[in-house]
Amino acid sequence: MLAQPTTPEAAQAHVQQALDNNTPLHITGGQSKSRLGRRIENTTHLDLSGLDQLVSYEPGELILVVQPGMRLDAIEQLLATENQHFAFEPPHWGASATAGGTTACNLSGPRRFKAGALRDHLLGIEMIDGHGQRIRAGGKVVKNVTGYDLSKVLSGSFGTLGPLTELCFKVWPKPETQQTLAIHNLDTTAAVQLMLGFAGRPCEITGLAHLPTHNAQDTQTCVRVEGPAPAVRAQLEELKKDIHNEVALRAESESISFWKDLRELTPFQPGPEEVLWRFAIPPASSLELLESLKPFELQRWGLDWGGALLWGLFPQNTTAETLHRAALDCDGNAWRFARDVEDTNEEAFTPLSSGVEKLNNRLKQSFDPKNIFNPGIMYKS
Amino acid sequence: MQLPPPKKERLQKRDILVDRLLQELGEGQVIHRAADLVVYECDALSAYRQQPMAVVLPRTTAEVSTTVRLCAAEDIPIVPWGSGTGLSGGALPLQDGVVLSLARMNHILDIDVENRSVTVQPGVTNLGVTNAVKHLGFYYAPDPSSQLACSIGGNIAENSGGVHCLKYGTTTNNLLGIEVVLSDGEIVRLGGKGVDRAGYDLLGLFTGSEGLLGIITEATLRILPVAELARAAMAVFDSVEGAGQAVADVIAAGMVPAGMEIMDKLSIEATEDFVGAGYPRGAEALLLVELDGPASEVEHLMGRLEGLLRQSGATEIRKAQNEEERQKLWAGRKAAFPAMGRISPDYYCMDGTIPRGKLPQVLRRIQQLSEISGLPVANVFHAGDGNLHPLVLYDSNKPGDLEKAEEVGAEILKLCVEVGGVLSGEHGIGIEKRDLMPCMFNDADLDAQERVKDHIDPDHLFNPGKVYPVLRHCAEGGQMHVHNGDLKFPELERF
Repeated sequence: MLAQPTTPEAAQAHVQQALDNNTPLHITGGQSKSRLGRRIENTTHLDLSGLDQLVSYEPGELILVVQPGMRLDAIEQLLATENQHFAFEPPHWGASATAGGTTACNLSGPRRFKAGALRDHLLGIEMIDGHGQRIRAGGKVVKNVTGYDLSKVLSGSFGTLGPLTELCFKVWPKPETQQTLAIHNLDTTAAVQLMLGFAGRPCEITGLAHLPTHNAQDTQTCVRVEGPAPAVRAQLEELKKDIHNEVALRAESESISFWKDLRELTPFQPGPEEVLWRFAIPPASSLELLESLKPFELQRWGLDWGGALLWGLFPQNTTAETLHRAALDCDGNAWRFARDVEDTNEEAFTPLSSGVEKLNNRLKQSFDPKNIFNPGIMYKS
Repeated sequence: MQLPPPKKERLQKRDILVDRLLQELGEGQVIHRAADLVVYECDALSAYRQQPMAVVLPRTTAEVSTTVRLCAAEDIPIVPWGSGTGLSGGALPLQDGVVLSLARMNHILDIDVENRSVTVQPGVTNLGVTNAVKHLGFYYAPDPSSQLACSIGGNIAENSGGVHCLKYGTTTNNLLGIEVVLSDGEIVRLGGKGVDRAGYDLLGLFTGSEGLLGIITEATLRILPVAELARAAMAVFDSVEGAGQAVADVIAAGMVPAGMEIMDKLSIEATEDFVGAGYPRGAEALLLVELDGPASEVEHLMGRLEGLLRQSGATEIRKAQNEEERQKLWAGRKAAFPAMGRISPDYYCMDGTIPRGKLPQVLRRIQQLSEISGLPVANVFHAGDGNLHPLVLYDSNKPGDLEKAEEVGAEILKLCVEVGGVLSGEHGIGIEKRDLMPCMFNDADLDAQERVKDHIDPDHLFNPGKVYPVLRHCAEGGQMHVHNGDLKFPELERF
């Protein structure tokens, strides 16, 4: 079964029907993030990609309101006409990526360690809950403490609390320009130390990544600085004084495409026998995590967010449990990406501690007592 | 304003409860004599006062948990208490409840420069965090005006902001993890030193939940490197609307200043009389703008800012030439509230946020309300994020003045919602704006929020009667009342 509402009212009717018939819904947007989460079956497909309208854009207020199915590329084009953007630099992972899907996954790109995640830029939501009600939370202004901040809760909820019908984002002026220093041939320890040190500097450093290759000469540690051109130049000169390896400067267009490739995971596309993992950890734990992953034949990997994010490709028979354990031991969590549509991805996300799990269940229960929204997509029910 | 009526059976348990608390926690940890409880009868919204049955001062998370279990077993509600500096009555005690003060849990537990984080107990003050890491070149960004006294636990409960939050965010954007005691006494950790967490964003839910969902017993905060340079400028305008337009022009030009503050004529005059910050007497409006960041960037943008302000119609621009001058420019703004206390026996402070573009419309309506009521209204506000703090001046000794001021206040907040804004930008709902919640949210919206409470704190042990109205109609609420300049914390800056 497939439902493709084009209005919030129609979406609400589908939810009501699902509640009446006790039939679970699989809520999707552009399906560009379908490798995330556990596979769910025996559901009616509620496709929100038809709820794709721009509701309002007030560049002077830094406020954008869209329906969840509006595509990220269309939004970004619109924002660019006013020299604005999403500061959290959302990954697309496909042309069909939507605002709603990105929100459901709380996905943020390389600038995240500086600018915050999607959840930090989501100001308000409208949604349909598991009582069949259309509800609003948050607001449409950048500063608001009125009521529980349910927008945060919906970010990263993978559709399990109900379909979103409207999203209000804080948008941000685009930095005038950017340049990137690519430092060659740093070993992992030196690279991590450099990133930790640079992240603590009072500079407009908005990208810190380390991409090793088998050929050490091609290994690069990249530092992005953004802002007005004279300020970018001056900061790069300062930073260079503390770099003793060979450095290449990537000018604006090259810099943009480098960070876009990283955001889009171009260097981490899995081969036929590989599976992609994402580890979010405290940045200073990255060396410890890498050490603990050594026995698992980590094929290719890279660090983003100044060390707080590790992308890694593992042989497909690697036991998920052991990798989740490695993440937990570093006070972090991991995502396993499904290989294909056949992959059930049973252990997609690192298990929660019992206290946190209890709170998650209570929250789920309050929004979706009949468990009809994306059941089991995050954890085994 | 009504709190849940005290239950007789709870009041009757008072002595038993105090005995058990004393037994479990020891003599020094429980305050129960009426004379000693006076200190806790109100937070900084001093118009509402109520003594609790007892105040508990645990020293450890385990003692917090014990207190919660004891109270839960006896059905005694708990009001969490940080420093009591809140402006919306969120910490107002209940007659049949206990206050749980986190004041003794005031240690800095861990400073981790590599992970750019600090872990503290909830009773540490906001400024205490910055003071602990200043020597390392770091600071904690949220800077509510009460930062000298307000506690981190309270900041998290209220999602506190400050003058720099357009650029640096509020508490929720600068918090990495918490330890929290739930209403059954269970201790749970949410988040840690990493920036992303597994499962739902419970950290985001607890932040700003005004003490309704759990007791925060530890917090891991994100710290930032201190900006290399901060420069401030003051621009004078012929009208507040003109100053508002300048703010829009600055943002449209792609700049995000660290702070932008507007003051109107009445505030300028009162402030000048009080502290002599060098503000232009007679001017209709002034705009303070601060840029911070790498020196190369600030210097580059300062020149551009000056040009923009001129184009936007500034009749005079004064740039602080050094740190001392910058501090002096800010001193006036920071003294705006106490300055009002000198020219008027009483004032009400409101805290709505509006879309900035609605400023002319809102100011016109405020002016009309002022004329109709005969009460002067001074306007100061965080212009970058549209957070208004209109101050309604009145005299509570004049019969009917207080009621008139309350009416004007409620009208202003309703107006904020009408033009697409919200009831509170940073002071919180507490009891102060509780009964105005239905002006902003409908029944379904409020049901969804209250259901979250019902599932996380099913017996409504934590801070009952706050934030969510008992009767759901758009009623009139009170605001921050100040009589004879008699603020509960007169030494704190309020801006």
